[in-house]
Amino acid sequence: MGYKKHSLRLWLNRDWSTIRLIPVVSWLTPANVPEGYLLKPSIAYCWRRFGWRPDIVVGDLGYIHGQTKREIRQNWKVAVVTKLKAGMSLVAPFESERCIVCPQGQPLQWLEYNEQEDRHCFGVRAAQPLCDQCWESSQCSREFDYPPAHHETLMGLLPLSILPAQQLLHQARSWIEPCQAFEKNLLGLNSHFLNSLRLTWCLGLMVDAAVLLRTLALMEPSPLANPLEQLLPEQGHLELGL
Amino acid sequence: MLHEFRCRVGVSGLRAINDHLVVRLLKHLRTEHKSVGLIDATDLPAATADKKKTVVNGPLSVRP
Repeated sequence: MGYKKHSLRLWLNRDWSTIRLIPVVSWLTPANVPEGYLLKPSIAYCWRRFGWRPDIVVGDLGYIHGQTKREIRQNWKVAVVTKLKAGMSLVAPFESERCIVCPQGQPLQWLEYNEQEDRHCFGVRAAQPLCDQCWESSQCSREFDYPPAHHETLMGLLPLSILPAQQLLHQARSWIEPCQAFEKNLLGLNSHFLNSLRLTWCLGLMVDAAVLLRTLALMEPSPLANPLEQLLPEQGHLELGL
Repeated sequence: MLHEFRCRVGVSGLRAINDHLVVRLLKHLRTEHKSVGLIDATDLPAATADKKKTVVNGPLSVRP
């Protein structure tokens, strides 16, 4: 038997050149509590305590239920992005996780999300589309729209096929492990004698406080220039274009 | 001393401290960009050293 530390972390977007993930809300639970159960309470907590919530939440794998995603989307307008669960079957218009096609098979490009009508708009933007040979071309507007509720994982508020969603899943997710390793190894969360849930709660929150204080300190302008600044590693930029 | 601090401040006190720090950090968010959150969970093994057998078993008794 062990414990689990669930954290909703925020990617501080003030400076995209460095990766700064800060724990906004953490929950310490027995190890048998699944991760997906604490997403909704985390967003509700953010809204209640800070009057704020993240616009997009990236989840690990596909363990968050579609019903939970729907409630989060409808109540807080938060897009939950997760990978497709293993064995989950695709639904039209998705030909693959990254490709949406029209009923006749022409690949479509995401154009926009119309918030008032609550629909995603997709259109034909390929240089040489197959539409000229299509028997429906005379009646086709070459634009198609779908509501986010069409499929909570594939569509939702941020369709899985578009580049920002894929970037979030493949780039942003990979920074979670260094955060966890920092808390467990450098801040010593792993080396404590955790023999009660109450103690685990206290130590988990104290580790969060240390991370938050460190981030605040790093954001203060340094009075002295770092002589080794040119030798510091630089992170790649993450420009989502949203 | 740390033990005493933990007992006094409690979980709700630590949460309040963290909330105060988070509010300060949220002011640094750029509102023109979408904010991105990530949810994750990490395992913390419970201490079980006190439950493990530490006494070495004696030699098997031999029937005379």
